[in-house]
Formats: sequence, C-alpha cells, structure tokens
Amino acid sequence: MKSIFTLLLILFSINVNQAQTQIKIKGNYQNKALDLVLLDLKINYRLEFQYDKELLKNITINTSIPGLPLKEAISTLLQGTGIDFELKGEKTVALFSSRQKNKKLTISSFNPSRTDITISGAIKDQNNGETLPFASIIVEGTSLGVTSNVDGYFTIFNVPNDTALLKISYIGYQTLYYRLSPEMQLEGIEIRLQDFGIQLEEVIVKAIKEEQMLSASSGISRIGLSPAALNKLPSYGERDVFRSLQLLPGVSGSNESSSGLYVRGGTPDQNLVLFDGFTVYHVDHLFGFFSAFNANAIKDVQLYKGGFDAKYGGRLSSVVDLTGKDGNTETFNIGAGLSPLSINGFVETPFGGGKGSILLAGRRSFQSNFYNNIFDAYTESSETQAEAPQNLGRRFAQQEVQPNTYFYDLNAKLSFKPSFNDEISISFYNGIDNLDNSRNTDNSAFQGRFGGNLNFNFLRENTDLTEWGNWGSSAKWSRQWNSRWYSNLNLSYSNYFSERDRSNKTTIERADTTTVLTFGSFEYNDLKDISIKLDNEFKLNASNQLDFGLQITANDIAYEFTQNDSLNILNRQDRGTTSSFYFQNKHTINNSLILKGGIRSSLYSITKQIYLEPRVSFTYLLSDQIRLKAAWGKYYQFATRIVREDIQQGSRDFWLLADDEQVPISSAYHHILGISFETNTWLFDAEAYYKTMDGLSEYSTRFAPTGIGPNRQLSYEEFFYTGTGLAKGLEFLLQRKVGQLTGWASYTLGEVKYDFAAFGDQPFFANQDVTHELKLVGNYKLGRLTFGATFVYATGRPYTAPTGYYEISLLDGSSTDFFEISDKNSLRFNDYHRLDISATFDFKLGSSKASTGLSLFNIYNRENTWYKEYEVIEGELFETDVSLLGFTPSLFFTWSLH
Amino acid sequence: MKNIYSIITLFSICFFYQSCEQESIEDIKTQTAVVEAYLFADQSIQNIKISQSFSYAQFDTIIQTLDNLDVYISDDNNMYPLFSKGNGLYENSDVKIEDEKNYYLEFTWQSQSIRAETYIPGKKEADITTELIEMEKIEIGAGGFPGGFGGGLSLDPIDIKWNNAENDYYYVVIDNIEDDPEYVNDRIAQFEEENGGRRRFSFISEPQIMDVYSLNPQRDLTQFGTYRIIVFRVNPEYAGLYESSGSSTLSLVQPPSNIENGLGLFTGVNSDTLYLEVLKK
Repeated sequence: MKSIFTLLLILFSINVNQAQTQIKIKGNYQNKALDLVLLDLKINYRLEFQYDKELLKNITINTSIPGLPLKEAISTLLQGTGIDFELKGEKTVALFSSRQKNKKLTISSFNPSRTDITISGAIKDQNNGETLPFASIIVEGTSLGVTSNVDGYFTIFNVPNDTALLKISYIGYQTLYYRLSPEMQLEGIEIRLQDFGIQLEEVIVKAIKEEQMLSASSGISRIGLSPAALNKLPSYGERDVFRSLQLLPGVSGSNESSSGLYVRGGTPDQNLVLFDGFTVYHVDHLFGFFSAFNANAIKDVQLYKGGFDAKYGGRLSSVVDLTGKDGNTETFNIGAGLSPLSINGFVETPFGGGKGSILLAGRRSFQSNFYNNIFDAYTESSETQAEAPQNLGRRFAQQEVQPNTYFYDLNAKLSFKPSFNDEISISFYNGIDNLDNSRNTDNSAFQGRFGGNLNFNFLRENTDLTEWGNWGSSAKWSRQWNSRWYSNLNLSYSNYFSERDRSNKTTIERADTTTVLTFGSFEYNDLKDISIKLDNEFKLNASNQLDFGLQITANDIAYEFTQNDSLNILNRQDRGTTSSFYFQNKHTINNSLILKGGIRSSLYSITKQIYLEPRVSFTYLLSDQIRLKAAWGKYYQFATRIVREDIQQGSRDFWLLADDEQVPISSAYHHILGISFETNTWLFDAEAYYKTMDGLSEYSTRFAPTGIGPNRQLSYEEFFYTGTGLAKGLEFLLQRKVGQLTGWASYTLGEVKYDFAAFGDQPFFANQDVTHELKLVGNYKLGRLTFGATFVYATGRPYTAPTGYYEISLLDGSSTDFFEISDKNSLRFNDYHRLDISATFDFKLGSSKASTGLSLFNIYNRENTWYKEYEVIEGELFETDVSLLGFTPSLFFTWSLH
Repeated sequence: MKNIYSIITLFSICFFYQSCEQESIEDIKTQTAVVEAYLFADQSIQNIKISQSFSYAQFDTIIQTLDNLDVYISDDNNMYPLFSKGNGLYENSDVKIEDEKNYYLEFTWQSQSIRAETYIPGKKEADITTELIEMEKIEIGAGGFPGGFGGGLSLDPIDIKWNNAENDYYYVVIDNIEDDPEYVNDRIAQFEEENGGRRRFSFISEPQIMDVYSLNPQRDLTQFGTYRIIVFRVNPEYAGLYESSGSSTLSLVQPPSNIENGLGLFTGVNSDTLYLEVLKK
C-alpha cells in the first residue's frame, strides 16, 4: 500500500559546514513525512540510511534542529516516533523499531558544556509569527515544566544542561521537540509551532500529534480553548466561542437564549470577560443567540471556572480571558467567510520588517430567513400593527411592519515589537445590535377609506428602537526585562450602552396651528470603564514565582427611564473607583507540589472600605499521570448587572454599582477539590466545588403603593431583594486527545439554591439550577473531511407558574383576572436535550485555503421549552409552551489566502 | 484502558442518579382569600365580596365564595360588623363612609387573620369647559367629509379639569347614556355594523396622576346625546391593578395587593359626576 506524502507549509533551511570534520545538521521540519526528511538529509549531507520501508510508514516529523552533530540530530528527529537508530560508520544510520522508546533518546549523545542553566524565550506560530500564550514547555526526562505567559514568553530554571530536549505543546498545534545545543544562546530562544491548519493531502496523524480542542490539564478549574480547532464542531449558523465554552463541564449548555455563561451555579454577570485586557460588560448579539466576539479575531481563550488567581478580581464566579490575534508578522493574508447569518472577513499584514502587524476583522449580519427566524422568535409578542386612535379599536387602517435589524462587530489590532523583549499593541473593538421596529403613519394610510379631503395633515412617528453594543480599546506595553522579570502595562476603556426608545410622536398640522403630542417610554443605560493595570511576574528562583500588580478601575454608569416625555421614573448615576493591589507567590517543591498563595486588596470608593480576598491553591503530582488539586478563595463583586423582566423587548438589563446599603456588595467563597489522570491519549478530570455566596440581589421595579392617609402615593420603585446562595456540584471530563476520533464527554451534577427572606422561609432553586448535565463532543477525521457532533442533555430548569387565578371588578364595571403565583421556582421544565452534527470539507483554491460544510442543529427537532405563557379564558387556564430553536440546517464557507 | 472503563462506569452511575421530582401545576393546590372591597365616600358599605382564589388543582371551575364570616370594618374610633348577604357579598347599610378618614378591614379564615387598610380620598369637584356642543351630522353619500373623522369643522377640545395639587391618581369614565344613540358619522356606524355591531360609546382612561382630561370632539364624540363623565379620585392600590404582572414564566410576579394574608383589593374611592350634551347642528 502506497502513501502519498507531501510537504505542508514549508519553512526549511539547511546548512552544511564543510570546514568542520564533524557534520552539523540544522533544519526545521514541520509536518513532513519521515521518509522525505531522510531523503533530504541524504541529498544535503550525503548520508545513508538503512531501514525497512514499513517502519517509516505514516510517520511525520515536527522538529527543529538548531545545528547538531549527526547522532544528536537523528536522536532529536526520531523523538517520539518509536524508532531507534544506530550509527554504522561516519555517514550511515540504521533505523529499527524501538520497544523501549524514548528512554534512551532523551539522553543526549553530545557533551553538554553548561549545567544547571536557565533558559528563556518565546513561543510563536510557525506561519504567521503570532506569539502563543499559555503553551506548555516541558524538559523531557525531568519533571520541569512551565507555561508561557500571555505574550508567549517563558523561562525555565534549573534545566540540567544545554543539550536537554524540550517538548512544547499548545492546543490546536502540533507538539514540537526542541533540542538545546551547547553553542546556542540560552536567552531569547524563539520556538515556532505548526498549527494543524487544513490537511490538504493524505497526511496521517503522528503519535505526538495532540489534536485537542481544549486543554483542561493545565491548572485547577482552568480550561484553554483553541478557537481555530473549534471550526469543526457543529454550530448554529456561526462559529461561536462562548457557545463552545457552554459544552464544557460546569458551564450550563442548555441556555440557548443566552450566550452568557452560567458557570458552577453563577450567573453571566458574575463572569469577568476580558478581551485584550479590557472588561466586556455585555456579550450578546441578537438577543443572546450569538456572542459578541468574532472567532476570527481571537487567538486564545482561557476559562477559569473558580479558584482563580489574585490577579483577577471583581467577579464572583469565573473569568474568561480572551486574547485577540495580533496579526500576521510574516506575510499579507486576507480571508472571508459566509454563513446563513452573516458575512465576515479579515485582513492582516506585517510592517516594520516583520516587527509589527495589523489585523482588521469584521462581520455583519444580513436579514436572511435564518436570521429572521431567530428574530421572530423573540419579537413575536411585539409584532406591530399601526394602532388606530384609542377608542376606535382597529377599525382604521392597519399596517404590517417589517422590522429592520442587524448586528455587526469590528476588531482592529496593531502590534509592534521594537525588540525581542518588548511588545506594544493597541486593540480596538466595537459591536452593535440595532433593532428598529419603527413606523410612520400619515394621511396616506387612511386614503381611500374615508376620503382624502381632510382639512389637516397628521404624521405619527412611532419609534420602536432598541440598540445596544460595546466599544472597547486597550493599549498594552509588555516587557521581558530579563529572564526573571516580566511586566505588562495595560490602559483600557470599555463602554457598554443600551438604549430603548418606544415612543409615539403625533404631529397635527391645521391651517393655523401645529400640535405635537408625545407619549411612550425611553430607557437608556450607559456604562463607562476606564482602567489601568500593571501586572508583573518575577521569578525569584526555581521554586518561587511572584505575581504582583495593581489595577485601578473607574466606573461611570448612567441609567435613565422616562415615560411620556417628562415623568422621570428612574434616574441613576453611579460613579465609583476600585483600586486593587494583588500579590501572589507560586512555590514549587520538588517539582511535584505547587503551592499558590495570594491576596487581593481592593479599596472601593463608594463605601470607602478595603476588601481583602485571600486565595490559595495547590497541585500535587502524585505520579506522571495523576495530579491532585485543590483551591480556596474569597471573591468580591462591586458592579452588578440587573436583568429586567420584559425579556421579549430585547436587551433589558443595566449595570449598577453596589453601595452596601440598598444594593449589597456580593461575595463568595470557593472550595474546590479535584483529581486528574492523563495518558498520551486520554485525560480524565474530576472536580468538586462548593461555593457560598452572600449579598446576592434580585431586582424588580414596579408601581407600588406607599404610605397611608393623605400622604399615600403610588411610586415607581426599585425593589432589591437580597439573600444568600449555595452552589455545589461534581464535574467529570473524559477527553480523547489524539487519533482520528477526538472529543470529550462531560458530566456535571449540580445544585444552586438561593435563600431570600422576601421569597419565603425556605431556600429555593435558583433560575439557573440544573441537576444533571451531560455533554458529548466528538470530531472524526476522514481525510479532508471532518465530521463533528455534539449532544447535550440537561435537567429542566425551575420556573414559577400560576397555580390559580382570581377576578376583580373594576370601577367601570368590567373585570380583570389576576394570577395567583406558586412558590418561587417550585416547578421544572421538561428535560432539555438536542443533537447537532456537522461535516466540514477542506480544500485548496489555487494556492489558497478554503473550507465548506454543513451544520445540522437540533437534528431530531426536539422541542425544548424556552418559557411558558399563560392566559385565562372563561375560567380555563391555557398554557402555551414556547420552544427554543428546532431543526436548522446551515451551510458555511470560509476562505483565506494562507 | 481499565482505568477508562472505571471512569465510564462512574459517569453512568452519576447520570442515572435522580434527585429532583417534577411537580406540575395540578399538584399545587392553593387556597387564598380574595377581597374585592370599594368604600365609596358618602355611601354605605355595599357589595364587599369575599371569595377564594380558584386553584387549577380544583376539578370544577366554580369560584368558591366565602359566606358567613365575621367581617369587620373599622375607622380609628369605631368597629362595624358586616352582614353576609350570600354569594360572598357583605354589607352594612347603616355606616356612611366619610372621606379623608382611614378604614380597616379584618376577618379570620382558616385560622389566618386577614387584614387591610385604606384611606378615603377627599372630594374634588371637576369643571368642564362646556356642557353643550353642536356637531354636524355626516351621512353616507355626502361626498368627502369636510372635517376629520368625526365630521364638522374643526372644534375646540373640551377639557375636564380639577385641582390635583396632591398628585393623586384620577380615572375618568365617559358613557353615552342614551338608549339608542344616533351616530354623528354614518360611515363609522356602518363600519361598526360591519365589524361586530354598533356599540354605545364608552371610554375609560387608566388611572393617572392628572388634573385635566381633554376630549377631542371629532375623534371622541361619535354619537349624539347625553354623555355622563365620572371623575374618580382613586388610591394607589387601585392604580396598581393596572400594572402588568406578566403572563409568561419569564416575567410572572405576584400581582399587587394591599390585603395582608390574602389577595385582592380594599380601597377608598371618591368621585364627581358631570354631563355633556352633544346636539345635532
């Protein structure tokens, strides 16, 4: 059987130093078939190889050889392949199968010149020069290992000698072995990894090819995600990072109507969402069906589900840290994509001789049937018809109005590296949703019905406009001062705004007068966040790394709710500054026990108090495969998002700052225990969490009578019900990391209960409580075809329902029915489940890359309940189940130059 | 691989563990007293209604009224018993409700003390800018009509005004009280006949903080004859009834009520009545 091997994305160089008696081999082999590598060595170094052809079958190489002697070079080349070798004479190499693989190969045959050394450098993408954050670097044959920081820099102390072999892995990229050599500089090492890209030819997976979409073994309650690798998963029309995060254990996957994350019983506003360092306060597009982030502009996603480091603060539940792409520093690249929902594109180009890059990425929705299906599901209840004058019912003209609606987002980033150790970048983001249901009515709508000889003109402008969005930007300067000290200074601005204008303006023009009547409501929320952050990492020695820094955030939040032009119902203006300092030490004992202890201290200007958040965690490597982990910490949250009740009317939420009087400052304690077991192929991870929450608030506004006697009044009041909460659960993850079939199964057993005095004596299930949640995610590769499937099962969420009704006669003689309501959240919807599948085909268009595919969402058309509606007609209760999205197929196409 | 199978077994055990029972609406039986009580200034206590909320767990669809309870209404000085008339109705014809006073309601049902209090607002006299207006009849076949929907030349609005320095809630009900009112515009009469039949003009505003209500003759006065205009001065608890309590599980909240341990309304009302004649020109 013959296999066809072809080079992919070649960056290859060869040096032959004839002056030396000993051959020095140098080369960079990426995703290259082993027999082609041997052929290359044969030609360039006049080497002879003896081997059985069957032995080399299906083996590809990802290795960088920085000028090594023959024995050393071959050893590096064959690392992890299961092939051993023997030198027969000066230029002849015999290859044979090794049953005891790796053991011998990790020992260099070259004599080291330096021992107990410190090495430092940066990890980058082979093709576009992007730095790779949070990549894993392990010194083979030892238990030494580090993770690169957000800018891809790494430092390793106590490396045994300068011939050690490094294993570098990063999700979505091929694992690379890198051999140190006695002649190389030990600082400023640049190591480049090859991404999986698209497989244009029949290249078979090599043993070391860890084609993971997620990396869950890097820390406690922490998961890294590769946006590029998520391409092959089924999607609802559009690849979405937040939707993918919802497939992880501990993150609820049954909230189709929210792209926000419900992490371990928390609510979306309890997540800190950072994009290139600035806080994003609202992550929804199109009522929450899609997140506000364009996957094309994201390089890395880190989710911390709890127990996070002292570096992060201001939220109770979790952290999503998104790093935007810097742009290509190697070559100009352009790409575009089309889905049933939107069109997107990006362009990236280097400048300054590869020292800098610019990236522009954007997408905009269009009103396809696909888009309208989602839109209509949300706006059915607010379908509009031109209303006739009050007491005449709908006897006059009626107009059907087609709403005009869209969303877009735009990312831009400029990065510049004046030196190997400095990086400057400016990132910009803007995303807006605009829903316009407005209509204008004038005389013409009434022509033909009552004659056209009116002696006046009228124009009714009915505005029904909802607009929300984010503006965000950050400027960052990071510097690796030396191999021990790294600093990152970030200035950021973030603005979230939400506007809802439902008003009618009627202008009547008569011969001598013009009358203008206005009524309706207007709601406006504007949040500004200006922050400065300075983060430092200082490696004191091999056992201790200090993290310290400060953050000052100034918030300015305005919220206004006006009715009928003049009645100002709510008008809040919150201003506050949070100044925080944090310090953390990571202490490593015997390379098997990692202890982290830290504290975050915040001065909150509104209460003028200092809030201390101690945090500790440990990881213990019981063996090469088993690790135990635990974390504990205290977390405070000062800004709270309020979700208003009329969700059908679009984005109805606003943020406000806690004052610890009316709105309490919320706090939480995290307790986490876990164990993970990892082999080359499998990862099993289990964690138990127990989270107590205090100072939770639920909010409602309504007209409520107050006072008695002559001073009684009905005022529009805010009600803050406060209480406590308890979330606990068990999470399991079983991941298959390599092979044709990769993916994971995750299961969460969870419970979250709130205890609010206002809602009764007993604790009740919180809205987001889900008892069981099972998620299966799989990818199967078949040549250029990749099949993807996801299955989600979840216990139904709790809800409050009417248990009866009563009737009250009004003063005009008519009567109205009122519902009597059950205890809060005492009922549950039916269980949620759905299966999605997809197929993606990668191909080449000339020299450019393309892929197309089909995604089938909710394939067996399960009618999952979104909410229930109730109506009383003649004493009978009518209950209507409103379902989430049914079976939806969607096609997509993407293309890029490189 | 052995480890992997153990893990899968662990998954399965957890998955089939069930801890939550699901209830349905039919399982939740509620019994709550509902009060519907209006105390009108200068009138005796009539038709105070006490019933039980209808529970969906019930088999029948009959509202259960609560009769023969010991119900008392008191002011700050005296306590007055109410007498059960049957059908859940209670009265005391000897008591005359006085305005600008507080009143209290109290009774016991199923060992629970059910209480409420309210205030009787003072009387406010309303004025109308005119008590008589003449409008032109518009007949079918008369060609385009010269003035708007109601016909006739442009007419000044008719204002009903009162003093509301206290920022209280007012509520206006306008009725045509003729037995068989004649339409100002025959086209509208015809349109109504084709769309559900003619109906007596009746207009109700929602309770609002206001001190004037404007009638646009061409728009509002569609029939000739006598209109009765009642301006109610109402309490906040009454105005609260008009606020939506939601109808879906996304937004359901307990409706507003000023009855302690119960549901419904106990409220004082005052009113002023005016009349307006619409004559054919």
